[in-house]
Amino acid sequence: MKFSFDKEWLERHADSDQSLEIAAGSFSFDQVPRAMGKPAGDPAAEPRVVAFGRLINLSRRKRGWSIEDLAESSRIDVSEAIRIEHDPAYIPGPRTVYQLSTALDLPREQMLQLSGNMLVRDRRLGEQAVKFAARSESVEKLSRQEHQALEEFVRYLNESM
Amino acid sequence: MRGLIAYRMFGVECDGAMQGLMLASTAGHPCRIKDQKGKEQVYVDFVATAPWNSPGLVEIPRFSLVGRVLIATAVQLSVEEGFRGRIGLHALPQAETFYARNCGMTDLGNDKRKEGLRYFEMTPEQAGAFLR
Repeated sequence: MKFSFDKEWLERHADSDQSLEIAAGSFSFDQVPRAMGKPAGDPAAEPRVVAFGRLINLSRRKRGWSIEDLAESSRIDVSEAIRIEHDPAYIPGPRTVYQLSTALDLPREQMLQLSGNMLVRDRRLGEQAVKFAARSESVEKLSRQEHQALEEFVRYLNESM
Repeated sequence: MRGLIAYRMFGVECDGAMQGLMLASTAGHPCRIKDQKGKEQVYVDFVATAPWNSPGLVEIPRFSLVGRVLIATAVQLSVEEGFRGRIGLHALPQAETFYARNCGMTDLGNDKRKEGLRYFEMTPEQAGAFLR
């Protein structure tokens, strides 16, 4: 089989193609084989994943974004954004991690490692992640907004019994 | 045609070095767009440029158009196989613009079975427009 490429056609598209990546195919990711959305099955990964969720939560709040704002900026589902922040057993897919890294201006490769998508090559990253997960948990009293949300939800639970 | 015999590997060589690679399959990945659902197509399992041609890794890529040449190869393979230029692939996030805008493919959204990557498909009409 012979392939032909028109020189003029190629020249016409040289400028618009120049700055664009072309990678495709799921095994282009340098990742640990795993079932997406399921626990990694690696107990050592869990503190990392907790740190990942906390990092997303704090980075979002630092920008004053709601979960809906984060989902919209990252082009992911709101339900997935909630799971990422609150479910340590949830491992988001590499595309989601990439989108979050871009939206929150965080380093892509480290985020893939923290989220359980890649093997952690730097042992210190694992240690720092555990430290971050432990230190970033709030010990402050509930804000008025949190208090009100809690009261309303508990009231609903009691009334719907 | 089934199994490994349906796979074809293509490379772009220039200045004595491999500048980009593509692995394509001619079976087992039927079309998903409504108008051509179930029809056969060429599925691009993997395509990538050499690191020195990647705008994400170097400021000035040594060769551009490597991706265009490889995707045009997939389209021509599809025509040769009687699939009229129909091709499909799962783009990495950083490459979505290339396939949506520069190749004119249809974006069918995230595919949870493929690491959440977005799935793109090209119809015969889009293939004609891409090669023009």
